[in-house]
Amino acid sequence: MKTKSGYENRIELLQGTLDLLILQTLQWGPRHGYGISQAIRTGSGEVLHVDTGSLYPALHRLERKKWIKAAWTTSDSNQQVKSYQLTSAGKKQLLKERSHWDKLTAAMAGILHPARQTNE
Amino acid sequence: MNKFWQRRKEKDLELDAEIRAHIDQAVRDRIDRGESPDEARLKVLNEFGNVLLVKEVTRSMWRWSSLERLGQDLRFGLRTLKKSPGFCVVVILTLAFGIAATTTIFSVVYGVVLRPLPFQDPERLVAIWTQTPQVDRLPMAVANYRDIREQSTVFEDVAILRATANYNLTGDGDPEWLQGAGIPSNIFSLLRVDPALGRGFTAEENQPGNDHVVILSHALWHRRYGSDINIVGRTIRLENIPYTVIGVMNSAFRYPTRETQLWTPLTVNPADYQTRTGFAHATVARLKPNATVTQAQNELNIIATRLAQQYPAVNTNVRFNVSPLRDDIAGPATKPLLTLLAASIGLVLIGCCNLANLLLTRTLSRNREMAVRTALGASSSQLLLHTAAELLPLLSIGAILGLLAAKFGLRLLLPLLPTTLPRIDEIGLNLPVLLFSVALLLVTGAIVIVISMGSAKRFDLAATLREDTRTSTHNRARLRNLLVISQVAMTVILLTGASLLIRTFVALKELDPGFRTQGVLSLRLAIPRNKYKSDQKVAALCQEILQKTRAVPQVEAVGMGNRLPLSGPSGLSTIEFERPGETPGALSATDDTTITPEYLRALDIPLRRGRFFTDADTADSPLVVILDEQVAQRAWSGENPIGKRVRSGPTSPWAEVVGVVGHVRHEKLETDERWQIYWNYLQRARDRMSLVVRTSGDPHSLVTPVLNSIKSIDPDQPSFAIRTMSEVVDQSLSLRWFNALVVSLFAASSLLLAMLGIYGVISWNVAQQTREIGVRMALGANRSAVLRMVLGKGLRMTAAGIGIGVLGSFLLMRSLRSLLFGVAQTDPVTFLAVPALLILAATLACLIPARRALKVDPLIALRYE
Repeated sequence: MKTKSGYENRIELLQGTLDLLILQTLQWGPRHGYGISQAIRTGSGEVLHVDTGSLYPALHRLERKKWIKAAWTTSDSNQQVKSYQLTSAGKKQLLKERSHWDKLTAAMAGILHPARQTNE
Repeated sequence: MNKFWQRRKEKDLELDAEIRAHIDQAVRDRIDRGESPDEARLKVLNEFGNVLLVKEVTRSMWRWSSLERLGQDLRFGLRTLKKSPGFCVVVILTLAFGIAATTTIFSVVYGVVLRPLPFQDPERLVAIWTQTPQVDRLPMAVANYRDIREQSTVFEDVAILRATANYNLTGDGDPEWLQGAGIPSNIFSLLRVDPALGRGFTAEENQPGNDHVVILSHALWHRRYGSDINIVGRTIRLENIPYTVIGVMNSAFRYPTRETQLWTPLTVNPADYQTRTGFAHATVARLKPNATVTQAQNELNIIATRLAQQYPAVNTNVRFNVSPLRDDIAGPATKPLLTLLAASIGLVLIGCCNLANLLLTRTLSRNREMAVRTALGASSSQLLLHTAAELLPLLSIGAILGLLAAKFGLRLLLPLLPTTLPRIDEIGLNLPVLLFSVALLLVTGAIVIVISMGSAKRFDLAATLREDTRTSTHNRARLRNLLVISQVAMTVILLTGASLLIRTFVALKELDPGFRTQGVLSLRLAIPRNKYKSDQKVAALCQEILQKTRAVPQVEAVGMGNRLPLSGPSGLSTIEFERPGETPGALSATDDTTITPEYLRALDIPLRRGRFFTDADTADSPLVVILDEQVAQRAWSGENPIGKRVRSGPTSPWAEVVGVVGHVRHEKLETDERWQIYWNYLQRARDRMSLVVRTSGDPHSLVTPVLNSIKSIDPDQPSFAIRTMSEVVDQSLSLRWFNALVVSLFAASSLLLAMLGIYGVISWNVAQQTREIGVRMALGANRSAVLRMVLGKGLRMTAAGIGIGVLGSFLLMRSLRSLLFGVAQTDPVTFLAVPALLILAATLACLIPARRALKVDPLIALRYE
C-alpha cells in the first residue's frame, strides 16, 4: 500500500515536537493511541509517521506530567480502548508550546529565506 | 510494598491491553481497506516494531522505574558475585572485622565516656576540685565549699559529699562490708533524682545525732532484702548501730561510684566549717540554665583570688577547677579509651584501602565489560549505581556479621575490662552505638565506591576496547599505589603506638615498686569503733589477729598498715621538721601510714638506717616515727636523721625519728613524690587496717586459714579486698594492660591487612607486566634483575609509606605522651623496629608474586596478547 517514495517522504520528528503534536491532536476531543498516530499521519499529509516506540512513552510521560489523562472507553468497533484527553494544565501547556513553536518557525524562516523577506 | 507491586502489575496489564487494542485497530483498518487478515496482521506487527521494546521504554516513563532498575542491578550484582566467592568472602570478612572491632570499642567508649549521665539535664552537672601548689586535684575543704556556695552566681546549687562512708553490715545474714557514701539532703534536688521507694534525706537528718537513717541501692535491696516492698521503716545494723531504712534508689542511680551500695546523711561538725585544709569532700554542682562551664571557672577563679587575699596562710595559690561531671567520672579512663577508638578507626581505614584496591582490580579486570556498557550508552552514573548495587549485598552482610561479632566480642571483652573503669554497667550495643556503626558503614562504603569509581570517568573507551591495557589503566595503577602507601603509613602509626604502649607497660611492670610483690597476701579490715570503742581495744584486736595469723604454717611475717601501697591518692596533711628555718604548719603532700612493727618486714621494704618499730614502742613510750629515705634526704640533707624530731603541727607532740626505710610507690607506680611517714599503731590508732602476710609458699593457699583465724577471733568481723600484692600491682596496671593488648591486636591486624594490600598490588603488577618481563628476559635480563624489579616496586611503595607513617607518628605520638612511662614518645627502638618490621613484611608479601615473575617463560609471555 505504502510506496517506497512515500516512505522516503517521511521526516524525522524534531526533538520535543511530538509532545506538541499529541497535545494539538487531542484538542478536538479524546483519542486513543492508534487514533492519535493516525491523526498525525493524515493531518501531515502522510509525511509524519509517529513511531510507536516514541508515541507510547510520550503518552505515558504526558500523563505523568498531568497534561493529559487517560480513561478506558469502548470504541466504535466495540473494543475496550484507552483514550487520552487534555487536562486544563495540558491546554495551557499547548498554548505555551504553540506560541513557542510559532516563534521558532518564524525565526527559522527568517534565516532560511532572507531574500523573500527583503523582497516584501 | 505489596500494594506497590499490585499497582505495578495492574499498570503492566493495562499497557498490554492498550498495545493490543492499537494493533487490533490497525489490523481492522487494513482489512477494511481490502487486505487479507493474515497479511494485515503481519504488516501491522512489522510496522509496530519490537513490542517488548516499546513496552520497556514506555514502562521506563513510570515513576518507580529507577527503583526497579536498582532491583535489577541488585539481582545482577548478586549473580556476578556468585561467580567470585573469594572476592565476596574477603570483602565481607574485612568489613565484618572492621565493624566489629570499631563497634565493640565504641560501645565501651560510649558507655564510659560519652553517654549522658542518667540524671535530668546532665550536661548542667559539674564537679569541682581543689588545686594546691602541692597537689593538682584534691577534694573540697568545708569552709571553701561554704564560701563558694554563698558567693557564686552561676550555680543553681552546690553540694558536698563524702565519697566513701563504708560500713560493716551485720544481722540477718553474714557480716558484709559495704561501700557507702555520705550525702547531703540537697543532692536529690541537685541531681534531680528521687528514691524509687521512700524519700530522700531531710536537712535535719544531716545534723550530727539525727543521722541514723540510710538509703539502700537497688542492687543491695534486691540482693540482701529480696526486693522487700516494706523495707522502708525497717532497721538494719551498720557498725552495730541501728539505722532506719528510709528509701531505696532506682537501679540506674550509681553515684558517686557504681560500687556504692548505700547512702547515709552527710554530717558536718560545726568545727569542720572552719577548715580550709581538710580536703575531704567531693563536690558536685548544677549550673543555672544557660550558664557555661567556662563562666563557672571564671567565677571560681575570682572567688579563689578573693579567698587567697582573705586567708593568705592557707589559701595562697589554691584554685578551684570545674569540669563537666561526666568527664570527671570518666576521668583517667578517657584518654586510653579514645586511643583505642582511634586505633580501631585506623584499622577500618586500612581495611577500606584493601577493599578499594580489591574493587579496583575487579573493575580493571572488567574494563572491557564497562567499556562495552559505556559504548552501548550506559551513563557513568548508571555505572556507579551498578557498582554500588553490586557492593550493597556485601556491605549489608558484612555489617550484619560485624554487629553480631561485636555483640559477641563485647561479651568477651567485658570481663577483661579493668574493674577500675567507671560506668561499666552502662556499656552495651544501644541505639547511639548502632547509629555510629551504620554511619561508619556508610562512610566506609562511600569511600570505597568513590575511590574505586573515581577513575572510571577518565578511562579511554577506544583504548580499552582495543585491549591496549597500558594506557587505560595507568591512572588506576597510580591510585592503587597510593592506597597501598597510605595503608603502610597508617600501619606504621598503629604499630608505633602499640609499641610505645607495650614498652610503657613493660617498663612499669619491671619497675621496682619498693616493696615485695611475690608471696604476699593482703586483705582489708574495717574495725567497728562502736564495738572496739577505745584505741586500746582496736590495738588489742590487731594484736590478736597478728598473733593468730603468724601461727599459720608457712607464714614468714605478718603486719598491718592503714593503707596498702598503690591504693591511689590520699589527702594532704601537715608535717613539721625540727630544723632551722622551718615554717610551722606548712602543708605538704604527706603520706602518713600507721603500721604494726612487722609491716615493713612483711612487705620487704628495706631498712636503710636505724631500726623498725618494736614491741617496746607502746602507747606509753616516747613517740617514734619512721621516714622514707627521700624525706630524710630532703629534710636534713646529708645529716643523720636518726634522733631528729618531727610533728604534725604546732600543737602536736614531737616524735623522734628512729628509722629510715626505702621509698615505695605508694599512690601509683608511675610516680610518688609525697613525704612517706610511718607511725606506730599503738601511738596513732586507725580502725581501717590492711593485713599483709608474707609466705614462703603460694599466698593463695593462705586465704582460708587466715580468714578462719580472723573469724575465730570475731565472727562479726568481715574481711574484704583479699588479693596478693602482685594482684594489687596488676590491678593498678589493668587499664594499661587492656589498652596495650587491644592496640597491639589492632596493630597486628593492620599489619596483616597492609601485607595483603602490598601482595595484591604487586601480584597484579606482575600479571600486567608479564609481557614486559618476557621481553626483558628474552633480551637477556637474568633472574636477579627480574627479582629486583618486582621487589623494588614493592619496597619503594613500602618505603614511601614508612616515610609518611614515621612523620605522622612523630606528630601523633605527642598526644600519647601522657599515657607513656619510661619510654620517650620518640623512642628510638620503636622508630627503628617498626620500619624494619614493615620492610620485612613487605618483602614477604612480594615474594609470592616475585616467584611467579621468575617463572615467566619469555616465549609464552610474548605470545600472551
